[in-house]
Parts: sequence; structure tokens; C-alpha cells
Amino acid sequence: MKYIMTVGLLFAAASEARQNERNDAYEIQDPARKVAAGFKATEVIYEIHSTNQTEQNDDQTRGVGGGITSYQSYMGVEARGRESTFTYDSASGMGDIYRTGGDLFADILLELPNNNEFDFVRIWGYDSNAAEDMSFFLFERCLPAFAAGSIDTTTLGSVVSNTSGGDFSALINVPDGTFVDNESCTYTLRTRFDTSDNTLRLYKVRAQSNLSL
Amino acid sequence: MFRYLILILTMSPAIGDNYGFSEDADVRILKQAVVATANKSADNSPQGIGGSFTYYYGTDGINFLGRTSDFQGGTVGLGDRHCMTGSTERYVDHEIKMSDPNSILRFMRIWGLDDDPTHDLTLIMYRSCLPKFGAAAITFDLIHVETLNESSGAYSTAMLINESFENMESDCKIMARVQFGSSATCSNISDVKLYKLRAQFLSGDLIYRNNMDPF
Repeated sequence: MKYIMTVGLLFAAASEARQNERNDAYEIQDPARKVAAGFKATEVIYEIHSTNQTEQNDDQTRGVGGGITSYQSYMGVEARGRESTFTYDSASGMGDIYRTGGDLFADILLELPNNNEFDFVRIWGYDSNAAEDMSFFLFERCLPAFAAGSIDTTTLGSVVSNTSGGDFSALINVPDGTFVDNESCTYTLRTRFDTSDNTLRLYKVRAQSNLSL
Repeated sequence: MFRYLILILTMSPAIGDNYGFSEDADVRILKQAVVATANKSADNSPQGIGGSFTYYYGTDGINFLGRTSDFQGGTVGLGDRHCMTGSTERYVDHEIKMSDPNSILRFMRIWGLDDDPTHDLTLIMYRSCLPKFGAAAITFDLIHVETLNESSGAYSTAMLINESFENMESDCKIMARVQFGSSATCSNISDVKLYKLRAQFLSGDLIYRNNMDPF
């Protein structure tokens, strides 16, 4: 009975995973906000307002029963330009990148364990630019699991570097109750570089999720 | 018998200029192999004692991205990658994903094609780390560097790494870098191809480092 109930709960969680079907999902009306995130003004984009959660500051990956918290990390060099005009260089060659021209945006595909509860995305980088910041957007993109359809995009959160002091670390708080649905959806972290010099650099992106029980 | 001289050095700017790192990068060498192992090609490790197991992470050459966007990559369409003539970037990078963040990286194996007597591929394994929650510059360790001195066509080479890692993915990331040839600009080296790279891990065996095998 416990097993059946657990499986039932898991299926219930997965069925709620298309975030634009949630009661707290809102369609973004402002075309400027959509363009700022790298979309066309006419696209239908949803967003969910984040809740305040606390990142665990102890390592739970070796907990009782085989681990609970799951991390997936990506160095900046793994980002791909939204368009092929995106050009980049590296300040140190250690996996960091900065934009040198072309498209403003670069995307990283986040590969998360299915059915995990998606909690946070943390970004590390460098911002010494007093006039411009880096902007980060977390998207869920969904298509029907076994049929044709249009891409449903939901913004799960956004953050800016908000500094000019150099090295920074910024956090996106994923809305509570967001479960990974790899059957229908993919998850992407988009970076917007508003300069073409090394004053804005992307070091690393890390997604944190927890096994849902 | 494989022996290690474990060194942690701060690389001089001259050394740091190689392998795709900037001249002023503070690069630490995690270790250096002193004696080549006779067991180098035996990367088919048996199942371990005490519950550990072998798992793999593999990627095709075409999945590697240029260290900078100056890399111009060619392919014959089979997932391979070579450096096109005129490319001013000769380094490409790809992540090595650890599904268990506390594992031993036992071997790397590379598959490629090399008909060029002058130019070769070089594999550079490195680890980039940042604080778990705070801001800082990237700290960096060079794990392994090996040039594949081949010129007779298709080849596959295993490299014994045998290094244990903890807190990967949360704090650090292992990356693989491949260098095409030795010239700053690639020129007529389309017959030096990267086919595939595969990492072999042992999971949950940090106590018995070599899984009770001869070390």
C-alpha cells in the first residue's frame, strides 16, 4: 500500500510539472520584458513568481538512503549562443566566457533528474561594469509528450548580477512546487551579456534539486 | 606498477600559456605521472568489493565547443570533429559529468583518427572550482595532460587517471579539453580527428582507492 501511495504521489507531482498550467502562472503582457529575455514580443510566455526558500548549506548528497540533494553544474564555456552570431572569448581559459559580439544571449541546457523538485539555480561570474549588469533567466520549455504542438515557455525565475565589484554569485529561487518533467519539458538558463568586453563574464551555473518523496 | 609523484605546484606564467590557459592564470598541477604503467590499456575494471561499481560518461567529438568562438570545426558527419584550416582557436572543451559526485576517475579513453605524422591531439583534463555559495574567482587544477602520438589511422588509447574526487557538481567541475595540433592556427590537419572521449568512474569506493587491485 505504501508503494502504491508513493507511486501515486509521484505521478501526481509529475502531472503538475507543466508550470504554465499552475494556478500561480501568469502570462507576461509587457512586450519589452519578453524582448529583454530574448523572446519575440509576440510570443506567449508565462512566469511564476518565486518564493523564498533557503539553500541548504550542508552537503546532503551523501545522506542516509543514498542522498537527497542533487547538483548539476556547467561551466560558462558550455553555453551556446541563442543565435550563431554570438561570439565569445575567455579571460582565463578555465571554463569562463565573455561575449565579444553578435547575439546578446547564450543558453545552457540544465539536465535534471526526472521528478525531482527543482529548487535553485546559482550563477557565478564577474561584473566590473558600473553601467551594465548580466541578466539571467530560467526557462521551462514544454511540448506534448507524444504529439505535435507549439512550444510552451514558462519563466521560472530571473536575477541580475547587480554589482560592479568583480566576482559575484547570484541565486534564482525556483517557485515552490516545481517538479522536473523530462518527459515533456526541458530546462534552460539564459544569460544576457549587455557588453562585448570582459567586464561581464560567466563562470559557472549550478542547478539544485531534491528527490521528492 | 604505476607510481605517482604527487605535486601541487603553482605553474609559471610560461607553462600557463599552454593548454589554453591565460598567461597569468594560477594553475595547479594535481599530480604528475613518473612511470608509465604496464596496465595502461586495462581499463575494463572488474566490479569492486564492498558495493562499488563502474559507470561511464562519454561524448562524441562533435559535442565539444570551442574554448573561444574562433574555433572552426569540421566533420564528416559521423559525430567526429577536426579543426578546419584557418581556425585561430585549436582548443575545444566539454564537461565530464559525474553522476556520483564522490567517485574515483579511473580512466579516460579517447578514440580518434590520425594520419598526420606532424600533428597530434592532446587531451587536457582539468578541474574548475568555486565556493559552494559565495563569490570568488575560479580555482583550477590540471589533472592530466597527454599527447596522442599517432599517425597510423584509427586509434584508441586508455589513460590511467585514478584520482578520487569529492563534492563534484556542487563545488567543482571536471572538464576535458582537446587540443588540435601544435600550431596557433590550424592548417591542413583535417586528418587529425577526435571521435569520442569516455570517462570511467568507480562510485562510492573512496576507502579502497584502487578497489583492492594492484596499484
